[in-house]
Amino acid sequence: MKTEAKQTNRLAGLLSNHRESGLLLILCLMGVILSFVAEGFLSVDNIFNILKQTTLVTIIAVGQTFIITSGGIDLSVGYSMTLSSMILAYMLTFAVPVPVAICLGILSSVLVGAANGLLITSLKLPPFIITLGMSNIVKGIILVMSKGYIVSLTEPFIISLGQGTIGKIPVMVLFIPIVAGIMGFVLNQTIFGNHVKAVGGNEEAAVLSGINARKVRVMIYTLAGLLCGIAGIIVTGRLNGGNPNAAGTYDMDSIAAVIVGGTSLAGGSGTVMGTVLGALLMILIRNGLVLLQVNMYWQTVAIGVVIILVCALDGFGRMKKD
Amino acid sequence: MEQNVLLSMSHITKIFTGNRVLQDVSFTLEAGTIHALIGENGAGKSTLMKILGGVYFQEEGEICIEGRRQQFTKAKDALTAGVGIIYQEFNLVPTLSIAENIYLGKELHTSRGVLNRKQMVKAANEFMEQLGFEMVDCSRSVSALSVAQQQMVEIAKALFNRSRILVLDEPTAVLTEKESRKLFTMIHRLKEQGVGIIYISHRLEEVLELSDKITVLRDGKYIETLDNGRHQVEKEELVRLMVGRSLEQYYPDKSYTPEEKEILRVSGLTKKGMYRNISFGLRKGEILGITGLVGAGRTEVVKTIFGAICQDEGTIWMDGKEIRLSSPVDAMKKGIAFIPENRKEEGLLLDRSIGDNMILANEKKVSRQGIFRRKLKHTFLDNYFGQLDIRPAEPDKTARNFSGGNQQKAIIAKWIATNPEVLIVDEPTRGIDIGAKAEIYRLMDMLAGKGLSIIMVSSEMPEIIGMCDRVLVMCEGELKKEFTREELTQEKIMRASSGLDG
Repeated sequence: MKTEAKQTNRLAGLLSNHRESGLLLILCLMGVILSFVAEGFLSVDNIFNILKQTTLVTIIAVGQTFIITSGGIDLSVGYSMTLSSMILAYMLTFAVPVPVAICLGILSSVLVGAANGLLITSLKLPPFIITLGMSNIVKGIILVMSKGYIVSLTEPFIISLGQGTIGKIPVMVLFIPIVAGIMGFVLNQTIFGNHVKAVGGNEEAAVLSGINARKVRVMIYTLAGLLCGIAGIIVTGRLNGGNPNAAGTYDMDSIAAVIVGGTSLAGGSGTVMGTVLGALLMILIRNGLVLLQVNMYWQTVAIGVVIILVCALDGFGRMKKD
Repeated sequence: MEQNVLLSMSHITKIFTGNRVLQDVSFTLEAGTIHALIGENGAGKSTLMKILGGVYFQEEGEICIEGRRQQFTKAKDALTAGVGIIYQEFNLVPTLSIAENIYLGKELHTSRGVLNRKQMVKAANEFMEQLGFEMVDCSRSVSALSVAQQQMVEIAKALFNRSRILVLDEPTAVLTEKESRKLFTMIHRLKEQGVGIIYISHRLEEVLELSDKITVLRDGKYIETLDNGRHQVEKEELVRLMVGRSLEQYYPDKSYTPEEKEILRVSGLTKKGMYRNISFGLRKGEILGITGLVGAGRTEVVKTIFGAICQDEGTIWMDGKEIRLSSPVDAMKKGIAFIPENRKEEGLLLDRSIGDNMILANEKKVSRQGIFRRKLKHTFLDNYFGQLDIRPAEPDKTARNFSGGNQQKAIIAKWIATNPEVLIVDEPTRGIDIGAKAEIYRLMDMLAGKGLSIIMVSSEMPEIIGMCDRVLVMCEGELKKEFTREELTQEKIMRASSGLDG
């Protein structure tokens, strides 16, 4: 009886990791195919290039993973990151010491996240609405501050974060294992991570078990803000300064990475590892298409197809199991 | 006995928007007793328990737990004071494991907030064993458990919180007979351990069998507390106290006999993993019961007849012609209607008005060229509200705010308005109070009298025996026995459904 239970348990464990292994398989397959058809794909430079492009969206998407696991969504991550970058750039032009400027930049994003959390829990409005509003507010503030102009920087430390290398390895790429490692541990192995899942899985049950769901939610959005802030510092180095348009499509890209990675939009369960693989898959495909000289606009179409395809395959697999 | 009083709620009054939903109600629970709380829907049972659970606050009266006066301001206060309430909708996080659910909010950790999963699973397993729960491995995810197992987890969680007062709200509504038996054994064990149990149920047989004391509420007022220590209370007495008048019979006298003409026949119906070789016929005006344990394949068979499940083998005939159903729409076109067991999830759009719900399958009747006509709508709704006595007669009121009985009547109205020849009902009276049950039985009887053929899937023996012309008993996906109305006894059904006969 007991071994039987253990076996089903192991099986369930395998199945729950099934999305990650599936993604890994797809990634490897894509890698093999691209290394044959796309010239220059399988070079150290290109691999690091892919990882560099993945870094920012991964950092942001890891925060988004926590939010989506808790049953929420954050549409303000792109401008939150941009705000951190702009504040950092301004502070440096005002000759504020680098560490202080970095802290202030990150702090601005943390405040945006905290504001999201506080507004969602106190106004009791859907996160979609609050963060959509917040995204516009932050965007507006950035435009008011910058009048749309770029703030150029030459600060060597900041530049090195976005462009420097250690040996052959780009510095920014190191953020992927660090952020994913820490946050994966937090989500899976800590009490806080458990509460994130509980609040997303059944908020009432969580509250009745003595969990302060409001506090957990505020912490989740603040944490996502912190990660946006860090991404903001790196993007400043990468773009040689503060760029009011840095937000780009990071909101949707981060959500896409989370969903492709296998975190349920319904909340309750999530995987940081899956998110990293999801982000990597999307960038890998874009990189391959660039090397194959496919029209840029078609690349976007391809990404869309991938998002739907991966989720449909997963859903299909699940249906078959039932 | 007096020194063993765990809980006393005295002179509780609760007013909702000017209505006194509870008026001067008192209730006392002793340690180591099972105290049933009964009454029709709207009698105030749930309100009283929500006050005990810290969800509502009373206008007057006080709550004492083990002699200490309590002032609950939120649900957590009640938990801390040792009140564990198992609501009908479970409060578990499906994505977490059993152990994580039990430890939710007080997780074991090694250092600095890092979970100690191993220890939690080990301790949870031990705790379950200590309670004597027949349990699966506590590292399993709650979403993989059956309803009965989830209920066990809920109870274990409450006891883990050191609750000495356990409130069970309609616990058997979601269980099979067999699972209910297990639950009762467990309740008895908890009673011996000194837990005070408040047991709320519509099933009077259970209440009589299980409880030491029975308190009856009616219209928000305390009626009487009966001592049932030696099972001396009679069901008739309970019914009389609950409804305030004697209910001669809840089951209508069968005043007609079904016609000889067979309207529906299935033969050799097989669906791998669900049911095998099912054959039976249904006559015009007949009420055919299908019973057996949950999981015996009853619901799957009727869902096949409704086109929601596609059979692997076998055929369905209607009026002597073979019909092929690839979706419920096909079945509806052939005159088959289906009322699912899960009223709130499958049967109703809870946030829409009850009128909109009734119109849903009847849009053509209340519109012309695809445009709704106010007048037709009114006539339609007035007609069915009157015919089925749906109360309150406010079609614009949200479905959620109707009682279970009236929701069910509205669903029945919706389907009979489509003029079906065959009506399939799955657990038609689950979670419905006695008064409304009786009305639904009368309604089904009346419809059968008018020539409608009804298939009723039910786990409730009395209603199967009271209502059906013929009963099929299923066990593990097969038809085991067929009984006519004259041969039916509870024991025969029980034996057949647990596979003891044949």
